[in-house]
Amino acid sequence: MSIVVEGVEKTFGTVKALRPTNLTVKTGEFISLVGPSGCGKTTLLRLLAGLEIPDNGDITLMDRVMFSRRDGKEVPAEDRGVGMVFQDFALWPHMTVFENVAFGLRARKDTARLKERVTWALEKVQLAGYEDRYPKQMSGGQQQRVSFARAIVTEPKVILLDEPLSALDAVLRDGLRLMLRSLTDELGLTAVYVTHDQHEAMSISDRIVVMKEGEMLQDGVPEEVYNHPSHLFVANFVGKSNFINTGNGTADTDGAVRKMARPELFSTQRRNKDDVEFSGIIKTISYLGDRYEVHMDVDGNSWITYFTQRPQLGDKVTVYLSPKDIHTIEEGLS
Amino acid sequence: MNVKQTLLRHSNKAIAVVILAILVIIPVVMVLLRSFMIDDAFQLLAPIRTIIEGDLGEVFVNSIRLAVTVVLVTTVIAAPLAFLTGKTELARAKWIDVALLIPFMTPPYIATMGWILFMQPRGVVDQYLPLLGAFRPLFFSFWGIVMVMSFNLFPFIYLVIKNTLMEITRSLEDAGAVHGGTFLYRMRRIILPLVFSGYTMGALLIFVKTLAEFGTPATLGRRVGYYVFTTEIYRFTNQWPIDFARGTALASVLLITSMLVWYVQQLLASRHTYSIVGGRDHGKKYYRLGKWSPLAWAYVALLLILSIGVPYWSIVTSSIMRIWGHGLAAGNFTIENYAQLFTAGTLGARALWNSLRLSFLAATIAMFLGTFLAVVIIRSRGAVRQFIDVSSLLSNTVPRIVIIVGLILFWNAPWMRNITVYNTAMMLALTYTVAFLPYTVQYVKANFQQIDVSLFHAAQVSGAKSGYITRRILFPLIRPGMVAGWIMTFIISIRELVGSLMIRPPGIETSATFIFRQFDQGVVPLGMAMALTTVGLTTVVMVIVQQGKKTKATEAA
Repeated sequence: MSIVVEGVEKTFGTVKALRPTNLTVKTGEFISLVGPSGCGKTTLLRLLAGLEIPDNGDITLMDRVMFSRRDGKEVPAEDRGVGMVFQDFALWPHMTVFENVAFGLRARKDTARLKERVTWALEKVQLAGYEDRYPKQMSGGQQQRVSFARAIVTEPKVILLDEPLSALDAVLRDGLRLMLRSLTDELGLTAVYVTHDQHEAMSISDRIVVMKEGEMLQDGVPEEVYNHPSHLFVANFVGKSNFINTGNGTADTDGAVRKMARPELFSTQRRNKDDVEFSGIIKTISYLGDRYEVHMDVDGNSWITYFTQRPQLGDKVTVYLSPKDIHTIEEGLS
Repeated sequence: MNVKQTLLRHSNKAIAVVILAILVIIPVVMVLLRSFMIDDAFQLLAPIRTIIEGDLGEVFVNSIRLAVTVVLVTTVIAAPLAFLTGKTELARAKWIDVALLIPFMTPPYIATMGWILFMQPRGVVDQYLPLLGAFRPLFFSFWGIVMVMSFNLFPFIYLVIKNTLMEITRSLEDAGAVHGGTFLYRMRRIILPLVFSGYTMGALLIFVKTLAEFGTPATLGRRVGYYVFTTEIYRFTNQWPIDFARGTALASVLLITSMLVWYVQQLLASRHTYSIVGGRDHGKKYYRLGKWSPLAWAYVALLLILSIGVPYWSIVTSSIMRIWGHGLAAGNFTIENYAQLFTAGTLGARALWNSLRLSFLAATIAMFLGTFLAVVIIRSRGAVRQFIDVSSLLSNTVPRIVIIVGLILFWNAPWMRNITVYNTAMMLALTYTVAFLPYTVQYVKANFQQIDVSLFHAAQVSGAKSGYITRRILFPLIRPGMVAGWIMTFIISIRELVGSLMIRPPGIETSATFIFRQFDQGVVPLGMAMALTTVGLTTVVMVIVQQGKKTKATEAA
């Protein structure tokens, strides 16, 4: 196991930033922590890095105990040997690209073959030849690649990524995301990736952990989290959901059991004889290029479905769903 | 495991507190104690009693009257100019702001001497503009003091008003126009209320600066018999018969008055500050001057003539005359005055050299000490931080003459006899350091606050220990603030008049005291040569540093 977190919790003043949390990450695994701001995902990452100290619990990285309240052990950030990429890049403006990348090696007095290793890291992010530039002379995407090179130059086993793409525009983001994933695979890194963007999390990760208010709600492979959300919150946060009225009132009222289905599972035609049918009034239509996204009102719930041809606003239409596609959320007591 | 670090941090705080207590807090407290204690008993109204019994009430009234009038006059001068360069096509003339740095950077005593030389009998007016001689009685009165100080101080309030005006986005005004507001209605209901808080800040700053100013009252005020706090504190603490009771009583009242003004300012500022949040700014809104354009330019020209032209014309011409009063005639030209300043062994050369070496020393100490304090402030929390923050900026809030009286009381106290700092040249360096320490603290603090904390976190995660982070990340990033602090301290130490006059040991002159005494004794040309030399020297230092910054910037680009 590369990362083992046991019973770690953190409070800032009166705010419970992270409730007692357990997490294990296998070597070479790429996992994402997702959730809205204030859910504790960044706190957990900073606790792993050693930039914050937990109130309680144990943290083990690569079989080395980094923090243990019980044993009174606390390895400072500078001795944990992880790589980290920051949201705002955090490149030092007074140093060249070369010096920024070389920093970790010089700081640890590990300067053998310094130039070669810095060049290697810059080649990995396709920035060879940019050694003498200053950060402000580079674009946002290039800066973020420098910060990635800085994180890998010391050849860490674990890399922590704190919303590394959120400061970049959409086109850059897609390209850089693919590059990040292929590099972590190539270098055999164990990665923890923090993001508030569920699409990004699903597309890049082996596993995602959905968090809310300092708590981990669901931990699973992306398909599992998408198809079988464990909580109402997860269903809403990851992807779009259509809630189906059960016997006891509409889905908006509180109940222990919820039924839902993802929009793309609905069909405008009956495919099997046991298909369930729902009818509703069309409220809005958005053309997406390859299809129409339609908001409709079904038994007082607002649904999203997809049509291949433009329907008529205000029409009453019927859509069909296979019973096996209906997912039941058993949320327990929340 | 963090015990060592915690201990280190706390010891830094303790060191900062001790240094500030010795340099600033105890001296100021001694001024207060000295004036509130009568016969070893604390009396709340003691300073007021001393002032009334000592017939000093007039001094108080004079000071307040002068300060209020200067605030009004600077406002009347500066507001139209701020509107012209902030809201009309004159905004394109960026050089106006650069030119206004000149009165801003001219020491008030030098500007005042320029004006006196301009107006006094056989001066510039008599030689070239005899018609203006009619204004002589008006100039050598309260109104002359007001005018000279106003033309020296108006750039402050001008910049404050202009900056607030510039913050008002075009959409705020456009919305007023779209909804039916005429030009004057928009001024009254939109612009003025938004400018108000900035203006009061500027006005109160001018008020306190006028109260604390020594140069103009000492040169022109004493000549026309208009006495204020600073001139009287100077008289009671430095000239026979010395009367520390009255001196400290006046200093206390001056201190308390300024503190009250600062307090009012804080109160007003918090109540009337609007944060102007807008969407995207669609550029500035500029009014077209049209046929009023010549009038606007005439106004700018008049201001520049009165604030720069007049004083510098007199100073420059006086400095190259053999005998002052004979005018710029053939045979009366000489560069002898300058030559004398640069001839080793002369009084002038020694004064200049004293100023240079003492200012260099003070700037260097202030740079290190100020940086240390700024770093401690940023890195600490709570009441201790508050204490260090407020006291390290105290010499900027408290009128300088009060600090100086405090330094005299403290370093000249009977129990300091074994520490021979007072009455040596080192005492001057110490005074400059204490007086101008706030500049470095403020610059480095501002610099530090701009550094995102993730830059330090990134270094830590990369394996750097705190010493290494300080050396490789923190220090290089705050260096611009340190350099700016050094330059500022160096420049204003060279020109400092009141501190030098009051602290200097017998037989030691600085450039400022030299100018002051030459002028007093009527050796005008030599004094003015020194004045121009110091102004020129400090300007050169500034330009060199600016150039250095620019070349570095182009190298990096």
